[in-house]
Amino acid sequence: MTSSHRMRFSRRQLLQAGLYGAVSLPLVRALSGASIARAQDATLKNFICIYHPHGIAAEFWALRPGDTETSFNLSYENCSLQPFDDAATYGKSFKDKLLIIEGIDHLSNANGHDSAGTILTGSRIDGRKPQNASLDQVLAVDKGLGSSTPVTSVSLGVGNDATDSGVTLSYGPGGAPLPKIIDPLQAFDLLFGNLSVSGDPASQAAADHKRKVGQSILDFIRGEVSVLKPRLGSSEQQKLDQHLTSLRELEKQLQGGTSAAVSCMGAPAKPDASKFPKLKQYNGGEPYFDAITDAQIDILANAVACGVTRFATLFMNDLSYMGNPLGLPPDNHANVAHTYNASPVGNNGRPGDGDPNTWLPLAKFNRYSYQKVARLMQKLDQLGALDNTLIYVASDMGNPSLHSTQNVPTLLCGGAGGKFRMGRRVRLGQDCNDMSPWCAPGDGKFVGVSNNHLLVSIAQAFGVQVDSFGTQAEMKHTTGAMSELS
Amino acid sequence: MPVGASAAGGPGLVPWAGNASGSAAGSGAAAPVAANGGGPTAAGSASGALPARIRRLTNAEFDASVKALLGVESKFGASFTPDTRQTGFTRNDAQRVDPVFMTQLDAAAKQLAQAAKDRLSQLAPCNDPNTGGEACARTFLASFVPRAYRRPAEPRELDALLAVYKIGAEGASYADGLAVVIQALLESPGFLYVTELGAAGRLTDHEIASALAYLLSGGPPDNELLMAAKAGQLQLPEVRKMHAVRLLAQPAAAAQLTRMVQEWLGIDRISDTAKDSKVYPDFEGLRPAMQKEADAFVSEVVWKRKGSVSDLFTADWTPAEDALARMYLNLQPNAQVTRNDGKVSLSGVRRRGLLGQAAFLSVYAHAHETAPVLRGVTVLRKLACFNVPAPTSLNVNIVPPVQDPQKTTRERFAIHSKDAACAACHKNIDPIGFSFEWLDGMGRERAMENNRPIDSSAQLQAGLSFDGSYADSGALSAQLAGSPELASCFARHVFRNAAARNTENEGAEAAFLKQVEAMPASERGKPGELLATFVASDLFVTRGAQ
Repeated sequence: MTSSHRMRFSRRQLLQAGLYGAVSLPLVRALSGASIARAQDATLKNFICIYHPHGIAAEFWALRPGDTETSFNLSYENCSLQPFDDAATYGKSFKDKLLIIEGIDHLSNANGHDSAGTILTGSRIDGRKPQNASLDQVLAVDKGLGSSTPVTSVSLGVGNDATDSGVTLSYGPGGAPLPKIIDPLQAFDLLFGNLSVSGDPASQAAADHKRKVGQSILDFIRGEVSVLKPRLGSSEQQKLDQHLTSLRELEKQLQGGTSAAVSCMGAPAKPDASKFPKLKQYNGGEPYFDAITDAQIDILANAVACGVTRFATLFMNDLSYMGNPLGLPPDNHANVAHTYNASPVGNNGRPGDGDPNTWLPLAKFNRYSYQKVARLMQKLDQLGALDNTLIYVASDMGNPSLHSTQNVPTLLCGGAGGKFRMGRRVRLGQDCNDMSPWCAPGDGKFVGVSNNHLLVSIAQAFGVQVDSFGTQAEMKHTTGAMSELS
Repeated sequence: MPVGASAAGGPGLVPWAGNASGSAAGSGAAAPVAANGGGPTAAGSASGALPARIRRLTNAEFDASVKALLGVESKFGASFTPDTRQTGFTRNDAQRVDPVFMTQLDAAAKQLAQAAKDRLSQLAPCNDPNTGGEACARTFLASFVPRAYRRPAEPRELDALLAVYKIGAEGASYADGLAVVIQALLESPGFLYVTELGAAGRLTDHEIASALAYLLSGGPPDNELLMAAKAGQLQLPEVRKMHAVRLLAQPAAAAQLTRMVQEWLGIDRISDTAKDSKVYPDFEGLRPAMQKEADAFVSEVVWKRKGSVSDLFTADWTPAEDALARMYLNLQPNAQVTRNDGKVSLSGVRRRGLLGQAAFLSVYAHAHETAPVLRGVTVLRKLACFNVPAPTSLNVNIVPPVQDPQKTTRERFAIHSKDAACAACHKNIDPIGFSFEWLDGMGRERAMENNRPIDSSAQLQAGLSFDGSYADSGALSAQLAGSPELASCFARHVFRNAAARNTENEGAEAAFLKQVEAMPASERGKPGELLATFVASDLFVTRGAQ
């Protein structure tokens, strides 16, 4: 495959490559990559969004002196992004499948803790929820990109199954929150439950009867919904539209066993439930969150690689319990995120040295979160599905102790089907066009870059021709793609 | 601009559009983001009537409806993905049938249908199931479907279900066919949604019966209500009132009233609250007792005793279990706890009512310390309906105060009164919040924090009727309990739960408050009476455009 993307290098890049002494390395790698026929299918197929809590300790994440856009160090001590350049642990470095973006702002207009809903919707949180559907749902459902897979989309979580805006990534029409599956067994059954097909005629006949019965129930319900629908006004109809979408989803699961689109060599191994006897936060689930997260990641990687679904979200949790493996205080929120006392790079530009003692604990937690993303990349890569996948990784906040939704740590990972130029880190302009580098959204001087632009770019990468996404008070924040991505 | 949508209106708000043709869909009046949950809705308010709509059953309503219909216990609702909340209430307009719910529902319906098969001889007796199955099915459907749908069924609907029966019974038995039909019914929109569509601006008799039943008993209409519906009597306010009184006397109403009060204050979240075990080692062991206390207390006050909302805040007793009661009374472990008819007297201590109970105090506190701002904001928003804008809407950067082992919590929050930008709102929030400081993050009394004395005194000047100087939250709560603000704010929240809507339906809510004004003063604070007033009103039965 010779995507013209890969062959085209700007003068600027060539100059940079020369200037910093890494004369031909990035060039050579990209060129040789382009000329080797890839075993992996490199069109952009899959979109995964991952949330990690507690913002970022920018001191161990941000661009450092000596870093350039294409040549940057992730291996310095305590760098939270180290897992992306750790061949010893993950078999290879994923630096060339990583795009780090500094300076994205989430214009949630809400408390940081309620702002996760803005990550995929680009919407203000009004009345406790975003105002529009999330990008994954728009692509999967509205644009039909998920229609041919057995499962249109899946939302997974760890420990918390509430649907508040602060803990939900995916939203249906009108911003209706979609619940997360926090039980890996339930996720497995949903995604792979129909894959096993036994051969003998008796069980085949039974399966056929079961399918016919199931279909008759679905057809009946669909008929009743269709009779009810015209009696409702347009906003009420949205409720039934979602109901119909859900029926289609169930129908796909019903028919899923024979779908030719699924390319698994048999179903993957079922998760070992003994590893997580409890699931829920505040109910004893915490010590199992690490195992649950790993199980969810494995399921996701398999589901995407097998073509069971193309759209997925994962809402990760923290390790707030006594004796957690990171050696952090039992309350990660109060005693790690809220004790973080940042220097200007982590403080949206505000001056003051901060307290270095408070940076490392948060950075340690960040690194843990990124280890999980690297694990997902490793699994996808092993299954040949990394190149055609785009993973969008973000938190709900930048500086967590300020509850700030400015300068939210944003990563794009995977091959992205070549639609984005990976292997770089970009730092966007400052949020304020003023002598003082700090200001807030709503200030006249605020010129920050909202994540809406990122969502527009992602939509376009999936072939959806939009030039705006999300709900904001000012159109400038919802309109336009990000040129920095390609 | 979709009407009835939550506050997405307002000039300049641009919802997601395929191409930015600049269609500023923000038509309609500016909708300021009200901190307590959304701005006014345009739909239906012109006439003061609530807009027509459909409402999905809550998880608890699902279980109750299954029990009533099949005679089978269902715990499936409790295992479904949690109810989406609006203003803390589970009865609301936000519940949806999403793909996850659909999958869970499908699995539940299958199992419930199998369980119903065991009761088939009672549900759907048939003399000759082998050759006369279809005829029996027809008979069964004719009486069962109206019960499932809570209204008369049309021939078309019965025919559609008979077709499902035939496929289910094909190569199988009469019982198998019926199980499939029952499964289909449990997943049908007729069962899952309560409709408020009506005809010519008024709910149908059966819709009124359902609305009444779900509001006051959390389940579908019983035979008496159904008969009244059939006779067209529910159109009459006095008949509705009679049924309301009848249902309120039943135990199911206790659960409904308790749920309403707890969801109003958010104290049902005690089930999901956790604390730092180094700071509050006793919390985990006492948490179940806190939850039980909240349930038993509210039920006793508002249902058994038919008390008023102010009683909830002035009660000088608690039904708490011994271990929790000892905490309240500052007794040693294993000390004797005196009870009178199950109740423990609090006359020797300063805490009173819900604001002195561990559930409220723990929910509105952090894992390792108190949260005076959360407590103050909750009292203002939920008990006084006093507008407290969110700091983000005012462009204020919140910097939570760092922990300081040499200061009390109150001292650490001093900047709220020193900084003019903070003080504008915090002069109203903080005095209330600080008045609770004598009760720690799990509700235990304390006189010291970090070896410094606790100051719980409060000087409130917010323009409220209960402004004044108070020694602590006990004194404040006594004044608050009798205030007109509490009475009216409670009535508003009762309305929002009863109407099962989030946003301030200004026209309808105002109309309801007028009805409340017309009630005898002694009845105005009683939740059951408020609901009965709503049921008897025109608001209950009229619906405007969607």
